[in-house]
Amino acid sequence: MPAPNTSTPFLLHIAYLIGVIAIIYPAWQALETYKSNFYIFNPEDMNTLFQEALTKYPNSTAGTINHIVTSLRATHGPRHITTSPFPDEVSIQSGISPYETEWVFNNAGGAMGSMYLIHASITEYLIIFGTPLGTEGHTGRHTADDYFHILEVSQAAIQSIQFPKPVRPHSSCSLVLQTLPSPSSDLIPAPIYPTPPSNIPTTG
Amino acid sequence: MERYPKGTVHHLRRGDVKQYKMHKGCFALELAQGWIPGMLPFGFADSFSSTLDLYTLWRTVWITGREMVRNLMVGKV
Repeated sequence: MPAPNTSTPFLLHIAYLIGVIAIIYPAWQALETYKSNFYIFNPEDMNTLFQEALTKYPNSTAGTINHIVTSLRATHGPRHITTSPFPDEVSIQSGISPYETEWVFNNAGGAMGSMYLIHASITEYLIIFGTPLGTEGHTGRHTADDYFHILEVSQAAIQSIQFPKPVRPHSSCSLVLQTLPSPSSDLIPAPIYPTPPSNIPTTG
Repeated sequence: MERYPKGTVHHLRRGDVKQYKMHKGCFALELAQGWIPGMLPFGFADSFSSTLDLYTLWRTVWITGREMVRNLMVGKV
């Protein structure tokens, strides 16, 4: 006597899958449209504060950072914003933060630098990131918008389609090609103006 | 080539990718807005595949987790 078939029919699996997608997709869409309501920062105000800090402390990165973090802490409160990494005049003058354990190295996408966390939640983060040595890497493909405010020195970026501008006219390349050795001989350089080979019989 | 000197803001839109270079002495204030848990694997991957610096990994996870929980407790998602 054959055993009874207890496995779920294939079509029922498909129906379950469609059902799950029908619930998850609208929920995801709703969260996508709603997520900005969770934000406490906005890029315009952050840029205003950033410019103000640079104007007040044009020659001190530590002073600039302290102004930004203390202002944010006053606006949003200590529950959302960590302590300034340069909390007093001594640390601002020396540029040495007293909170050694709050600074961590971060390696991501081939780049490496020091990081100090100012705010982190499910929908936002705010950090100080940088290195005296310089670094280079892949930005990563992210599920968030990223605003990189340059406090000191500079950053450069390229998209995969970008090429450097030529530094000299393309015609100068032909000089290089003309002096390459002929493939038929390793010893005798190819003539700059090629002449026909002598073993080919000529008429007339 | 895109150049961002001191005082400018580089806005990397969600989903875009670039190669970037921070020149010697470059420091930045980075604001990210979107789904942050989705970005964390990128921040931690090199600890497993390259640096194997478990103490730094632990400090990063601790600091990030501490702030996320501190914010969640006052209703900030």
